[in-house]
Amino acid sequence: MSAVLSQSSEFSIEARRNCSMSPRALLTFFLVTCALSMAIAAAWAAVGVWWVFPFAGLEISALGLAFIAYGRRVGDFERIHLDDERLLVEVCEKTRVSRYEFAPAWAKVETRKVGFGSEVVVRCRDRQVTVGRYLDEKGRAKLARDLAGKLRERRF
Amino acid sequence: MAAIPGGADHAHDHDHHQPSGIMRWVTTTNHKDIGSMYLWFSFAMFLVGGVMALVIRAELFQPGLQVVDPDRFNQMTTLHGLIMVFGAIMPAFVGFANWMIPLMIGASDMAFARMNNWSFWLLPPAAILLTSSLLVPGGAAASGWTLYPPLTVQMGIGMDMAIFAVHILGISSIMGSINIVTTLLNMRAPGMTLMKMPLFCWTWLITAYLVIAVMPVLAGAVTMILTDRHFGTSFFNAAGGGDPVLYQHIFWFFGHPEVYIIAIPAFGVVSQVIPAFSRKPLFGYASMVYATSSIAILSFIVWAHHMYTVGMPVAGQLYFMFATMLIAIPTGVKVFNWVATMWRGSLSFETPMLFSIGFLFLFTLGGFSGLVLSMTAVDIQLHDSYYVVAHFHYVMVAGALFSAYAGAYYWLPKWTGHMYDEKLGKLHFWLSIVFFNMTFFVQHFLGLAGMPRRIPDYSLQFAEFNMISSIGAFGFGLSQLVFLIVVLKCIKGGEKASAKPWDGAEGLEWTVPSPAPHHTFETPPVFK
Ligand code: HEM
Ligand SMILES: [Cu+2]
Repeated sequence: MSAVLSQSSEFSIEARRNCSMSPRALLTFFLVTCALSMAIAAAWAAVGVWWVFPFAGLEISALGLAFIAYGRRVGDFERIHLDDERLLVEVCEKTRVSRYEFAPAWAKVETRKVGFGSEVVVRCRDRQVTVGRYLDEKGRAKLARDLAGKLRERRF
Repeated sequence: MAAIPGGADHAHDHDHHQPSGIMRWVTTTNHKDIGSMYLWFSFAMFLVGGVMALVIRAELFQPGLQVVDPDRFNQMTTLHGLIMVFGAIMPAFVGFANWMIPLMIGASDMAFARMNNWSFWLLPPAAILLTSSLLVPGGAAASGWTLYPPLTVQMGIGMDMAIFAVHILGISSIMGSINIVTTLLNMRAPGMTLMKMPLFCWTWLITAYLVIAVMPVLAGAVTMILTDRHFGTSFFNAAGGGDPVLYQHIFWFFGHPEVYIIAIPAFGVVSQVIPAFSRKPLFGYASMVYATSSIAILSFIVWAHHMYTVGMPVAGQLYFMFATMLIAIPTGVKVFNWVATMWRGSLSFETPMLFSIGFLFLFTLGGFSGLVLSMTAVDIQLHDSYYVVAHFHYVMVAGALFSAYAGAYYWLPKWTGHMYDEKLGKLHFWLSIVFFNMTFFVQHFLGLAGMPRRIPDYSLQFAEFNMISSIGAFGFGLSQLVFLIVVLKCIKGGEKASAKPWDGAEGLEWTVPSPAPHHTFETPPVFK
């Protein structure tokens, strides 16, 4: 019975940042833009107007840096995993992963109003972490409900 | 909200430790705040540039020299052009982009919020440089907004200030464009494919691309003027073996795409407004995207239609003539689509729609005079005459500015949470359209009769039309104050606007309350 219970009380969810363009397509876009800009600069340099080059170079580097800076967020995710031993929350922002472990018996889920919407916070005494940032309002409400339910089951 | 110890969440904390008063605006990274600042800046520069235009028109009220000396007159035409193009029209549409693009695609903000703050705050220093150059010895640049050498190689420090200002404005445009491209590509709501974006977003994607393609060319051109002036080079200085005509090629390689950098977002605004007040979806969405892209591509290969008179092989003249005429095809597709959208629609004529229809008529007229000018044989007569002045004011004022007004009235309820005063709005429209035509229609005749542009005095035969034009200009200038009153009234109060005050409007921007709250779409909405 207890084995069945522990199985059914496992809970896992992963949510990723919404990115409407794949890194690959973004790279293609960048290379095409780069080619166009460099072609224009080269054509002008060919008639003696080499001053376009440095500016085109600066600008294309800025565009590249911008895409890289944005690209670092493409992998952002949130993972919540609950089993018998622990409640594990992993948050990846700009390639940096933060891990939070809570004892399921002590962890609580709270929903708070923030401005125009809400946020879901998992807390255990003074440690807390916000989750559900990539979900919409409905998804967040469901997450809070489901996770709270599973945690309640673990509280004997 | 207290900062979460060890938490990874800093998405929300900015709205709680936000500085107040002026610092709020200096440090803001919110796209709505920045959008509003762009729009206010643009309107302020519109008034400054407008006053300069009125100085010009006052001088031209009658033949002879009355108001300013010729040198000041030339400074006025130069600054008027630079300020209207870079200070008024471009920032107006960047303001619309900042406010509306995140709302339209369901994003919480622009991709790089802090860079956005920088792109805006580069503008005021540039504006100060341009205007204060009137006070330095030798006065402001007096070469015309196109900054042609050899004049520009000779002028005083005012010229250096103009070059510096153009550089700063260029940097600002580039940062803005990088931000817009990144936002549009990456931050669309799930389900919103590129071909489902509102057309305004498409036009900005294309515009930002044009900016990225041509701004380095402008930067290169003005830098070469600078090195010719101070560092002993002779790119353009004929005395040192340079080639002044080369500058014209470089400038117009930037300059013609630039006129589309101004016109294309205007197309975008009108493409949002006309369907809303026709209560029908935009006719030919896909063809609109392709037509806009074709216009953008063609704009790179027509630049020398500004230079038919500098001496060009006949083959070159023919090429640029036919290439320019080609632009009429995608432009015709667009005009057709706008008209077809209205066809059998259930039309209503609130102020945004009036300005859009005004745009449609008068922009098309400007397109036609453009076709006239595209013919080499004709242009050789009309070049540098008032006909050209009439042409580009039909496309810039009745085209771009009217479209900006259409957008402003359309989105004012979303921005302020109040309905604007419809009576005053309509008054603004009718005064504008009457005085606009009074000012600029007659300039076609002046040009055809041979009156050159950029002169402070003229022959007696042009007196009547110039007088009409000047009266129209003062009327037009004063009418714009009506708009200021409408906006101030609308901010202060008025009928409460619902989330979607226009029953025919569509798009995610109308799913958030009016006024749009400081933070919207913190998580992407579902787009159907
Ligand atoms: C059907 C489209 C268009 C055609 C065929 C066209 C054609 C031309 C031609 C041939 C000239 C050169 C006239 C001369 O200097 O003798 C010219 C000037 C000009 N056009 Fe257009 N044009 C078109 C649309 C536009 C648009 C959309 C804008 C801006 C929003 C614009 C802005 C200007 C400006 C500012 C000038 C004068 C530049 C100067 O000399 O200072 N045009 N156009
Ligand atoms: Cu052109």
